[in-house]
Amino acid sequence: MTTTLDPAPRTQDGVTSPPPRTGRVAVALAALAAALALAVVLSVTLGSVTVPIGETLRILTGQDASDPRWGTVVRDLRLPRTITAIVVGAALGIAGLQMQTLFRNALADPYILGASSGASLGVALVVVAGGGGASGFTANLAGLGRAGVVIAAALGAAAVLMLIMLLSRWVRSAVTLLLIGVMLGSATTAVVSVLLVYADPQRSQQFLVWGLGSFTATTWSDLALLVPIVLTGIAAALLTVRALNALLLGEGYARSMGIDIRAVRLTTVVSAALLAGATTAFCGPIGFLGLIVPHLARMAFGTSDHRVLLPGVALLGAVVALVCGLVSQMPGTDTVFPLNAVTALVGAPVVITVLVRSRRGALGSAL
Amino acid sequence: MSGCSSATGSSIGADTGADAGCITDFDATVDYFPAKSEITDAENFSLTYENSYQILTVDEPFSGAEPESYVLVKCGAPAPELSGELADAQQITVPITSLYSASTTHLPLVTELGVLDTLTGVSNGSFVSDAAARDRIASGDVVEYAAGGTVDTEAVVLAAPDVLMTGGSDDPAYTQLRESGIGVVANAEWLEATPLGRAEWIKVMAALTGTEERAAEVYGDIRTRYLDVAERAAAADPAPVLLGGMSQGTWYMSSGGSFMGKFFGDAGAQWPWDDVTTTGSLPLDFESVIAQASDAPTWLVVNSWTSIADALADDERYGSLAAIGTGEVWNANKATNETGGNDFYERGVLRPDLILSDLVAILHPEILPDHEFTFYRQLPA
Amino acid sequence: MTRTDVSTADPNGIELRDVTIGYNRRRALRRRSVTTVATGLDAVARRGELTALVGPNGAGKSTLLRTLCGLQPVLHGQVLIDGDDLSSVRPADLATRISVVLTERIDPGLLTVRELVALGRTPHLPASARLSPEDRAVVDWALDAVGATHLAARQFTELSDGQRQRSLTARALAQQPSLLVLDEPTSFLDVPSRVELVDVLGRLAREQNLAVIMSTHELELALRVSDRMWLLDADRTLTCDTPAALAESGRIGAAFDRGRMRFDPQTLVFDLTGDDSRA
Repeated sequence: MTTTLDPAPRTQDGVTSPPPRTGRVAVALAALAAALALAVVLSVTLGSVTVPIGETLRILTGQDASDPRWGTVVRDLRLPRTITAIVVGAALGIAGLQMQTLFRNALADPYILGASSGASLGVALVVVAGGGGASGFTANLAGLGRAGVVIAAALGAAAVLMLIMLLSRWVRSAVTLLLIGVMLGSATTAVVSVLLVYADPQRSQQFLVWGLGSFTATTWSDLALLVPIVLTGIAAALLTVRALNALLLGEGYARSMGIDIRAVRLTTVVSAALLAGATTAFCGPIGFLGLIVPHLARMAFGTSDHRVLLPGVALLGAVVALVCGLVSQMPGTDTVFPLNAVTALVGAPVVITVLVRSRRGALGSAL
Repeated sequence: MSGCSSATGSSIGADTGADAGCITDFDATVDYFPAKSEITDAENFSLTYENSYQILTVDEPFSGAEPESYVLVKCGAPAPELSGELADAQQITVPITSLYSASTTHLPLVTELGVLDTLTGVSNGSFVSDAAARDRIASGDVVEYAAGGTVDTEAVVLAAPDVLMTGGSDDPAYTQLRESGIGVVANAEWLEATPLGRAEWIKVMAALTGTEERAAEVYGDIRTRYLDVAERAAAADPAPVLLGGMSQGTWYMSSGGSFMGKFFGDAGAQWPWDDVTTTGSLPLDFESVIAQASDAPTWLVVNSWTSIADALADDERYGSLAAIGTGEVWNANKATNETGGNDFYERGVLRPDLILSDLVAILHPEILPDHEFTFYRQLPA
Repeated sequence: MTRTDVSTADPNGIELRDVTIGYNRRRALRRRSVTTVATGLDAVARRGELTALVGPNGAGKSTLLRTLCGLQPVLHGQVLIDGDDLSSVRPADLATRISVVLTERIDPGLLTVRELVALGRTPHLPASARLSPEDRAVVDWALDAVGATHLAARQFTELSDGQRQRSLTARALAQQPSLLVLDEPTSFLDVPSRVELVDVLGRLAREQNLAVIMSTHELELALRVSDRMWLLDADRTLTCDTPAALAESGRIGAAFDRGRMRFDPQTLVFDLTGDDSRA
C-alpha cells in the first residue's frame, strides 16, 4: 500500500498496456490514403476532354504536351480544381468537427455560426445591389468582377463571425451562442432574399450561380491565397485538440480539468471563420460536406478521439470532396452539374443509410 | 369603363396620329381604326380589329402564364358587350393619356412613336438611359413608383394612370391595380424567340396610343435594315466566334436556339454549339470550351469589362484563349450610362438592326466598312 | 456557531477559514447583486480521510462544493488546499490538485473507458494531447485503483450506472489530485453499487493519501463509513466533526428529524416512532 501517489506505478506484467484500437485506426487511415490517391488520379485524368494518360504524365512532370490546349486543360483546369477540392474538403471537414464538438450537436455544420450567410450577404450586396444607383463601395466591388465577389464574400463572413466572437465573450453557455449564430444566419438570409426579389433577373441569376458552389472557379493565384489561409485555420484547430477532447465530457468537466472555455471557444470560432469563410469566399457555399464528414469519420475510425479525428476528417473530407467534384464535372460530357446538388444527392442517402444502420452512440444525439 | 379623360384627350397633340381626339358622335358602322397594324414577326401577341375596339391578346403575359386579352376601346365609343372569355377581359380606353412603365425597354418605344408625354411613371429611374426620359424624371413629370423595389400600390392607385405596362413578369400588386380600374397590360417581348419579333412589340405601344402608322414606318425600316444586313452576312463565309464567359467556374454559352444565338446566327457567326436548339444558356465545362472553341479569333461578351486586363483579372485562365492574343474582344457595353444602365438592354430591344450591324461589322468587316458602333466596342489591352 | 478540531493550518488537505459562500448575479440591464448562501464557515477535510458533506436540500451543499473546486470564488475568507490559498492558484494548476465527479450525465460518444480515464490526464498533457508512457501508466493505475481494469476496453455508453461512476472516479484519479470532490456520487446507483462505491472511495482516500469529499443523501451509509462529516444545516451553519461526535451531539437529529422519523445516536439509524411517544 503506497502512502504517496506514485506517478509511475507498474501493472502486473511490468509493461504499460498498448493504446486501444490502433489496429482499426491504422487500417482506416491506410484505406483513406489509398482512396485519396485514387481520387486524385481520377480527378487529374478525367474530364470532358480526353487527354491521353501519357500526355497527362508529361504535362505533370513539367514537359510540354503535343497539343498546347491539353497543357492548359491539365495544368490550369484539372490540377487547380483537384487541389481546391482537397483543401476545401479538409477545411470543411475540420470546421464541421469543431462545431459539432464545441456545441455538442450532431447536426452542427461549419456554417452554423453564420459564415456562409454572411458571405452570401456580401456577395448579394455586390452582385445584386451593386451598380444602377447603388452606393459607390458596392459599385466599385462590382467593377472588380470576380475579385470583388471574393472580397465581398470574405468581408461578409468576417463581419458575422466577428459579431459572434464579440458576443461569445458575454454569453455563458454554448447553446446560447449556437442560437445566436443561427438567428444571425437567418437574419442575413432574409436580407439576401429581399435583395434577390427586387433585383433584375440577370443579377439574381448571377447570385444563384454563385450559390451553386464550385471547385472550378479557383485559379492558381486564388490558391496562393486559399491554401495559406486554410493551413492557418487548420493550425489553429490543432491547438485545440486537447481542449476538444476534454469537451467531450461537457463544459463542467472540461473546466475542472483546467480548460479555459472562453479561450477555446474563441480559438475555435477563429479557426472555423478562416476555414469556412475562406472556402465560401472562393468557392461559394458548399453544403453537406462539413456535416457528414465528421460522422463518417467517427464510423470509419470508431473513435471520438480528436487526435485521430482531426487528421481523419481532413483526409476523408478531401476524398469526399474529390468524388463530388468528379461527379459534378460529369466526365465525358460537355455540361456541368451544380456542385451543391451533387453533395446533397450523394450526402443525403449516405447519412440516412448510416443513421439507419448505426449503433447507439455512434450517431443520433450522441457524438 | 366608358368615357374619356376629355380634358387631356384633345391635348395629346399632333404626334398621336390621325385618330387624335375622341369620338363625339358614335356610329356603329364606321371603322374607327383606319390604320391597322400587321404583325409579321412577333409570335407572343396578336391584334384583331372591330369597328370601335381592338382585341390585343398576349399569349404568354409572363413565364408559364395563360394567354391574356385586352379590349382596347376607342375613346368615345360605348363599351362593347362581349361574351365568353372576353367578357372578363380588361377594357381600356385608347388612345391612353398616361402610362406607367415597368421596364426601361418601353422607353425607346414611346420616344420613337413620339408619345413620350404620355409617360407619367417608371418603376425605377436609375436604370433609365434615354436622355429625354431622364429629363422628364428630373423635372417631376415622370414619377418613380417602385423605387424601393416594391410597387407603391397606394401611390399608383391615387395617380390612376390609364395603363401600367408590365415588364413581362408578375407582381402581386398588379391584381390590386386591376381591381382599382387601372389597365395592366403585359409587355412580354422578352419571351419572343427572335430579335425582330421582340422589336415588333412597338405595335402594342402603338395600339395603346393610336400611333399605328408611325409604328409601321419605324418597324418597317428596322426590319428592312435587319434583313438586308442578314442577307449580306449569309452570303459571306461563316466566321468562327467565342461566346459567353465563366461564372463561378462554369462557362455559360449561348446555344444556337437561344435569343442571342439567333443574332449570332443571323450575323454569320459559327461556334461549336450553334446547332443546339434549347433556348437557355448552356452551362459548360471550361475544358470543353478550351478544346472546341479556344481557337476562335473573336470573342463577344456582354459584361462590365472595360479592358482585356479586366478579363484576365477575372480569371487568368482566359489568357490561353486565341481572342486574347488577337485582341479581338468585343463587349456590348459601349452605350452604358454613368449610373450603370446599358442601353443595349433598353434601345437594343427596339433596334435589333443596330445590334446586328455591330455584329456583322465585327465578324465580317468587309461587308460594313466605316461602320459606327452603337453597342459593341473593342476592348483595349 | 461552529466547532473545529484543529486550530492551526493543516498542510495536508483542505481547510475553510471563515468562508462566506454565495454568488454574484450579473444581469444585463441591472446592477450586480450578491446573494450570500452561508457565512462564517470553518471546516477541515484531511488527506487520507473520506469526508461526507450532508445536509437538507437547499442548505447550500452545491454552492459549497463549487466553491471548493474553485468554480466559484469565495465572497469572504479563505479556502486552503495543502496550505495554499485557492484563489492564488491558476486554474490550470488547480486542475492538477483538485478533480471532480459531477452529477451531470455525460455522453462521450464512442470513447472507451480507457480513453475516458485518459482524459483525466488533460491538465498534464501538451496541446497535442499526446500521452507519454508515464501518462499511460497513470491511467492503468487509476483503473486498477477503482477495480475497473476489466472494463477498460468497453465503450463507456454501454456500461451500467455503477460501472460508469467507477470509471468517472478513475478519470478523476488519473488527474492525480490531492483533493477529490464528488457531488452525489451515489444518486443513480442501486444499493449494492452504492455500498461498493463508497467503499472504494474510503479505500482510495486511505491508500492514496487523498482528501476525498463527497456530498450525499445517504446519511446512514455516510455515518458508517466516513471518517469526517460536514453538516450544513438549514440555518446555514457548518459543523465539521467525526460521525460519532456529530451523532452524539444531537445535531443530526436536529437537522433531519421530521414527522415520525427520529434519529437514534446509538444505532446511527432513523427510526419510526409510535404516534404517542415523543423523543
